[in-house]
Amino acid sequence: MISDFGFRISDLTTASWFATNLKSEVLNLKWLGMDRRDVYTWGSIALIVIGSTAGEVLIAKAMQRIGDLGELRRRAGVGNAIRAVMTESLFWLGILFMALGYFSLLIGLSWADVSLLQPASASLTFVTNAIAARIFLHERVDARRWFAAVFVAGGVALLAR
Amino acid sequence: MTPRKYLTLGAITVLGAVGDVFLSRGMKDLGNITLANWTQSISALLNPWVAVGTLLLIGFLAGYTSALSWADLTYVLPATSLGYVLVALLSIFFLGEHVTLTRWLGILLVTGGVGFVAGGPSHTSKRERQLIAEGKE
Repeated sequence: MISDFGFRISDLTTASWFATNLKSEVLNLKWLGMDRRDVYTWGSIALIVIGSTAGEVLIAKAMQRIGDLGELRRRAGVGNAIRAVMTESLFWLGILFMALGYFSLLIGLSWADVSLLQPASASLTFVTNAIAARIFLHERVDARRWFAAVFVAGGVALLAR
Repeated sequence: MTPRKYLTLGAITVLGAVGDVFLSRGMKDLGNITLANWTQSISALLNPWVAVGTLLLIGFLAGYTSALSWADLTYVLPATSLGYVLVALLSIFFLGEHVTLTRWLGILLVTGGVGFVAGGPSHTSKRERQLIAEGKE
């Protein structure tokens, strides 16, 4: 059967069958040697890392702007210290990313053990945070802190085994 | 660093670890959450374990926010990393998971990492930040 556009309908069907099959092959990620559980586990680990790195850096930036909360509490009272945090927009943006990390953790925990999920995401977050803190927070990440980051990241990677 | 500040770091460590373990315990009662039934991640909050875990994590966040107001992020993170050891221990004794030699080695490395930063400076001053931002350091 030939359509008005000059190609056979059966060609179109074959092409669409092929496209559907290709899509399902790509989506189920079997070609990476991953099954559905792996995809959900490592997908949620990736989202936890993104959520907690962005969230922690934003909250740290907000606190840099506000200054030492203990001092503020002594100087202006608890109410003003809380108000200073609650009216800081970067704090709420940070909370939004922390919430992304939290719900990704819940989804991840429905697929994998906490003893894999937490160390794996934490060790990756350590490295991304050390880099982000240097770039965005201008913290002095000296040799001592890099050593600590490497030690802890290596340690949590072993914990995940 | 005052004793009160060390106490805050200790509270962050315990609240975060116990909160995560509670969430894990709660999620073991519920089925797998997929993209098709993602709304279950919200109704999961009705599970008592998940609810208590979430409250503990809110306490963790409050302590964390306070700590970040007087210490650097790259100090707070390793200083509270004993929490990972706590998660490992709790998942062994409370959730009945198995501990291997590599895991104990991991615990040793994390503890070493905490020792590294604990003795160092906890805060980068405004002046130092300025110099780092200008690329002079």
